[in-house]
Amino acid sequence: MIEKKKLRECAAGFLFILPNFTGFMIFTLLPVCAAFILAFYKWDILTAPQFIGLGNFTRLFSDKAFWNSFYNTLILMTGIPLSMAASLFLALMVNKSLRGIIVYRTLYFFPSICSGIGLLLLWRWIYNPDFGLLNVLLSYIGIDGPNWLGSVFWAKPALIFMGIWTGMGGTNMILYLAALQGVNPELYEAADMDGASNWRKFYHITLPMISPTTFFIFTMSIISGFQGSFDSVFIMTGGGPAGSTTNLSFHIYRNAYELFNMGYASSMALVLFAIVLVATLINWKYGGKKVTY
Amino acid sequence: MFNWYKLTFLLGFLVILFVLLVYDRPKIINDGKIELRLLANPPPGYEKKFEELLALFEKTHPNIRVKHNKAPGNYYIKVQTMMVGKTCADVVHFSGKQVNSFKIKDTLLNLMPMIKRDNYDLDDYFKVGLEDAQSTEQEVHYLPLEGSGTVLFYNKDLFDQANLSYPDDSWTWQDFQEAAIKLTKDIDGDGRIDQAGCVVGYWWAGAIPWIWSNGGNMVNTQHTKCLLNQPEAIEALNFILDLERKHHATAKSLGGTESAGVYENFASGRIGMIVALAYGLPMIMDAGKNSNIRWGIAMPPKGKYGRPIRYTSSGWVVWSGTKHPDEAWELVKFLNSHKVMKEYCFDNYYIPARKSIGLSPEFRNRPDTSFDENVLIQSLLASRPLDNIYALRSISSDFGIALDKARLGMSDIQTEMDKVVKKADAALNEHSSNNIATEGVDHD
Repeated sequence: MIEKKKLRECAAGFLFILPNFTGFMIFTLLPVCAAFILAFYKWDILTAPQFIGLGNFTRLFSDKAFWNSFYNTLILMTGIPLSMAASLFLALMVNKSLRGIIVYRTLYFFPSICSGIGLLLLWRWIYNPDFGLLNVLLSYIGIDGPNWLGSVFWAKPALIFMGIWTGMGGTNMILYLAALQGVNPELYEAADMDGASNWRKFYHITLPMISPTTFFIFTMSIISGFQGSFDSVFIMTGGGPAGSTTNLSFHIYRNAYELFNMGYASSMALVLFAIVLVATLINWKYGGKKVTY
Repeated sequence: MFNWYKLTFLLGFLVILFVLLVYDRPKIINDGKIELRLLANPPPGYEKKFEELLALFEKTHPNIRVKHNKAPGNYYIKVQTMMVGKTCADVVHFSGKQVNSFKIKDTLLNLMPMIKRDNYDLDDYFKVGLEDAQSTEQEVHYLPLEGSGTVLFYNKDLFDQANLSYPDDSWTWQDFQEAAIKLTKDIDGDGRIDQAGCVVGYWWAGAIPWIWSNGGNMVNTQHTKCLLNQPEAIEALNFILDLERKHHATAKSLGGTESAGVYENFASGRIGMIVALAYGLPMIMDAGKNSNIRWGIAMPPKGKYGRPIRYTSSGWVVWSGTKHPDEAWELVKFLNSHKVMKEYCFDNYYIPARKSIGLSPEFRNRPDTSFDENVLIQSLLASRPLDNIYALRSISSDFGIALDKARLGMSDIQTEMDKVVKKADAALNEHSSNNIATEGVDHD
């Protein structure tokens, strides 16, 4: 009788996850597997795929455009530590029992629930060199703002700054907030009795106690950093100027859907997967040592 | 004890049942009519009129029902996907320069047998419209509906303020450059250009016509060698680059991307001249509704070997997988009929693909426009389509990056074009050794 009950519970569990798993299989797992296979083919979508073995990979490793996009991706990822620090700062600010604190939390969280495209178009206007808000504000303090999105030098920092603004009040802030609220207040009381300053309490208590969350956020940010930022590049710069903001995801998109090189794009996606895997494993091995439980 | 598990399961089942029952499934109409699917995005504001035209077709062809679908967003990716999934519409609105990349994969129906069968008069079409899709005596996969050559839009008020004569047929590259420089102004003295002299195309399709105008070409006649690094090409590219690099006379100095808001900037008096396809007409007219801008069109300036004029068109194709080729052809003939083409082009300020309409006094002397339609026809007759070469489909982005680098002073154009040509020659050689037809694809 106990066996039957367990079986029924198992069956119920599988039934509940079946819709989600079916969707995952159809829209994620199978396409990923297809992409892995297509990486060894030459395929322009409309004609039959042609097996070429490692031809796409040999082409990829000598493709300057691919390495340029890889370099651009790494540069765009330098905003990750800044974004994390900004999220932590915001979480510390809203982790207080002040009147109306819920309003502040909502306001900081707003950008992450707004339409992404709307925000990007808004920032495109903010960065307009003639009448954009940013250059107008800079002109009030005597600074001649550059052509943010039209300058090879400034385009990447502009995207990084926008990414930090958009992401700092989002999920990362919520995760940090939850972590901060999980820190045992007795630790702070003990530190107060010993006369510890705010900075020492932060450095020796807060940071170690939220280190699992930091580790998680860092790992996820690295993964999304390699894969993401497609929409901001697509909408705001189109990969320019002079290819200076073309990142890996945009380069893959361009090859797949503009140049009809589906096989080559799949090989780049496979290489990207390998890069993300290696980065995650390195992070897991060495970053995990810094985590305090 | 109450069984929550059973209740949850029951409720879930009832919800699914309810959804299935009330879901508005497409009704299958079995009235014996043939259903044709048409994929087209009508111009903004023309949707209702377009539906009326389709209703008229259904009235005159009572055995056919037309189901009109639109595909906003990345149109050709959607068309491709539909073709791969064997769910493509029977008749599809296509750009002429896209035809070749689909034609060589046997996804478009050759209309020539039906053209011959029905004695359809292709002679009424401007030849360049059929050339845009590389039609031949044996193969016509595309019927152009409208097309456009490059023209020079100019702001009459800015010309008057600068004491400049309006552009005319005698204008050369030098005249164009001098005017662009004089029209460029920093009005408020803040060191930033507020009024740009001109817009020229710093991308593949925009720059190649200037190369033609200087006697250069994209590839040799055998399509085995790319010629973009030859002296004529480099001279032409340096000319358009120097408009920005030396003289800061283009809209690039206004900031932002050139294609974003160009016509709005022109209509608000911030740009003196635009060298672009006449497709810009409805956009300028729309943007200029709220301003009193006086503007005109002229032929682009002459180079050593002609004017930088390219042609592009849009029209109709029939999917090769259609189950109703004859009916699809009837729809194409209707949409390209004299009456429908005339209405479509007149209402949207397009240049018709038929000579009988485009060369008619009614089109050339429209009372409701402030520009000279004769310039549109003159430009069309002097235009040529871009060489659409499948092997070079990936070169357009390299070309654009090379132009960007040269424009921003990161490199010189000769060095960059040598790199582009090296890659292009390799692609051409690979395709010729694979015996693949060098037919085209859009580079825009």
